[in-house]
Amino acid sequence: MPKLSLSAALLTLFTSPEHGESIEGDLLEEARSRGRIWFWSHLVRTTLALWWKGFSESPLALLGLTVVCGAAWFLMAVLAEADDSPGLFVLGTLLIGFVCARAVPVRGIHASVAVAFLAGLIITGASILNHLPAERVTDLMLALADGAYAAGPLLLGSIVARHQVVRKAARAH
Amino acid sequence: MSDTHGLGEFEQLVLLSILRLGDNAYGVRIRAEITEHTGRNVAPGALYTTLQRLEEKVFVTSRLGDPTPERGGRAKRYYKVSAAGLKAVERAQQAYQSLLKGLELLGGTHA
Repeated sequence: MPKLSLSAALLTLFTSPEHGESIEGDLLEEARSRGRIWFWSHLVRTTLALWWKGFSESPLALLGLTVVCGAAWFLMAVLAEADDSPGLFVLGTLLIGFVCARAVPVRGIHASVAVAFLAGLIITGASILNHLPAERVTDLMLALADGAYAAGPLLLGSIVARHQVVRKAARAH
Repeated sequence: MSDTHGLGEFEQLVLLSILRLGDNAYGVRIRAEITEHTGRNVAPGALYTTLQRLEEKVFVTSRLGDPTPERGGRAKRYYKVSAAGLKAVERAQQAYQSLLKGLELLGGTHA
């Protein structure tokens, strides 16, 4: 499989590499007259639309998978907190994201992205509340960093697994 | 109307645009065709998810064209309405026509 560009790799999280590249080509063609900001904003919106398509087509299955993946993330967070081990949290959630996207090849990535988004949002919100009144920009930056720490490893693990699945499918094809 | 014989309103617009474009039906042209005829500004995300859904329902088929430089070397994906898609869009349009009968719309009475 040829090396994917960043934009095609983003689309390929939720669609096949062949579809991802042709969608990227369409957006690039239109971006010639509309500009770079148009390209990236529509690339992100199209990626989100493809992610949401998974949920709208099999809501119950994906909700169940999201709950399982979320529960595993929460358990790992509790264990790491009890052990006071950030390393355990990073490695554990990385593995959870990887397993979720690898075990359920087509829809697993949808669920782990949903969990990562929710975890990031909740932890960022909790961190902002913890720093209230947030008088400094640094406090908000710290809250965002907490959110990224909560969501990042899970997201990274699932992205790595998804690209392994895609490469394997391309080789088989 | 949300659904007619398995086809949503936007799916019908996409299928009719593909039929109008013939051999030149790919993402950019399909979007432009819908905008030209309906005045609706279609988000690329909405179009690509609909095209994928139509492919999954086997209402359209697709093939890759040759890569072109203005697209950064990416190939166009050309869409074609399948026999099942044609049948579905015909049935949906017949349902519209049937509902329009006897109504004074579009500047006249539909007999």
